[in-house]
Amino acid sequence: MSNQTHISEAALDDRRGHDAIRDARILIADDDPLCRQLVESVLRRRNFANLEFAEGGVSALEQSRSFKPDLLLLDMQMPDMSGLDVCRSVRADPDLADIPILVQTATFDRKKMGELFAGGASDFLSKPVNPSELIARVVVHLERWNSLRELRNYRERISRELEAARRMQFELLPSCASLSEFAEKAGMRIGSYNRPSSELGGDLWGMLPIDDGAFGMFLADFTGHGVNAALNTFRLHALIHEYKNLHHSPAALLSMLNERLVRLLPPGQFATFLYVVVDHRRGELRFASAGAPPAILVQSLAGRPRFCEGTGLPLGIEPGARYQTYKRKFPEGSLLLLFSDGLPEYPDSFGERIGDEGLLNVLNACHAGLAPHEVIDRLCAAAGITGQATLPDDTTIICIDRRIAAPGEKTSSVAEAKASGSPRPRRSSLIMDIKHGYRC
Amino acid sequence: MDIVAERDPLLDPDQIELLRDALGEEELVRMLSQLPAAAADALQKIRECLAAADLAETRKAAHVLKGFSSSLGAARLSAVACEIEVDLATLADVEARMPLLAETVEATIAAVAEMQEHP
Repeated sequence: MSNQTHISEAALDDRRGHDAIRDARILIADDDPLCRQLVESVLRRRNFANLEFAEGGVSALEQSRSFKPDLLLLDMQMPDMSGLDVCRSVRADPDLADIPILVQTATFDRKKMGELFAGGASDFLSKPVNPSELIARVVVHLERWNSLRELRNYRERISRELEAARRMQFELLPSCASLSEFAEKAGMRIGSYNRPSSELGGDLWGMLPIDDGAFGMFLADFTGHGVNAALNTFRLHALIHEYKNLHHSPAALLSMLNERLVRLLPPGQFATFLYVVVDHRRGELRFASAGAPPAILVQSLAGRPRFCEGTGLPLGIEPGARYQTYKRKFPEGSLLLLFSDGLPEYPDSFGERIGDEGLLNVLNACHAGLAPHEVIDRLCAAAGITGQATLPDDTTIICIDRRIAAPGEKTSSVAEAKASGSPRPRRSSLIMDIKHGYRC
Repeated sequence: MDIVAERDPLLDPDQIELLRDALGEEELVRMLSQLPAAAADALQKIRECLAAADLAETRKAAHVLKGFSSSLGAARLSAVACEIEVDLATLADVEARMPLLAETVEATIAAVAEMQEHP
């Protein structure tokens, strides 16, 4: 027994349990019945059982479409249609474009061999048939094909699952309808933008009803991106809603969340967190920060934007960390901007970041008539964030607006909708766009 | 005996051995037992094509003979068929080769029979 045969047999023994290879559909196309039989005998001897045969090029093509082989063994020279033409036609068929095609040929002509590979042959088998070579090449190409298929199936399944997870995560966010309702009751407008850097993100924001005169707004940003960070957002969402009795008290809520997350999160994982109670009845903001980028506040129509500085360790790092509740006035005519660090730190096409000062400048230039989503659009545009851009970090922006819409403004202000008595206009294209972010 | 044919054995022991390893003795014998009829058919086909003065079809028939005979280890028969398919330019050249082809078919059939009797 030759070494080559011995190696093939040993390799095949190792894969004896590999049903996918053994059950592979193989189409053998050769106009010569003796050659078909010889190839069949060699393959059957190695337990390949799912074989079909074509007696010419035309039938090879037809049977490729009906049998959908996992591998096509093709004789180069057949009377009705050459192996090369079959090869080209098979490759042109989207359903068959990727299957391995092994062409049997006695030629060593460099030009013909070149045409063969250019025509889509995966490999060639020399004639006369060498059984060891036949088995080795069939196995290697079937394994490759199987790996490719498994990889594709895996990728498709993961994509579907990520998509489902992404939708679930999206459902954690306030819906546009509930956001509008909150805003309407509070006599203000709220715009939002949330876009993960990959399929799943580590940003989470939400609105917490407190009473008729106040609501809470939080923005969390977990370390990292992807599945890990996203799972943490689900944990945090559950925790936040577990402590409803603390929603009116920012520092107390952060302390409690920190204690819980310290126990839950492994070392190296933590979250920045900003929680603001918007008390529109008193015209006041109460907020606490756990290492979050400071919100920007504009306190009157002619006011200048200023950062609401607040200190505190990110959540989940140190047990017993203390947080402080800060207060700011939030009269009518004010605007509050919450954002995750994905916004100021987004590198534009020149690698430049808009930074904190850049955000202040944009807000300074936004006139009072702009609706919150327009303010957000301007901030994104100034930062260089476009619909097509890939974000290096999850990005969330929330704009809470107590300013009066400027006369003649065509945006979907609550005030307009109320005044006209018509239902709130729907901006369906702005509501949800998985690729380009969720916006309200 | 012609030079082309002389350089190849009637049955190529290496190819036969490869087939024996891959198929086992019984299946090898079964495959080889089909060679005489297939070779005789191919010879007849070549004769018909020659009679029809169709060089292209003659070459195709020779190609088929070359293919199965080489794979089944009938090296000399494959070499003669290959010469007809590839090297001979005219019908007259092929015609001149027919005695050798017929002789080689007969000798191959005899060699196969001998091998089957004394494996």
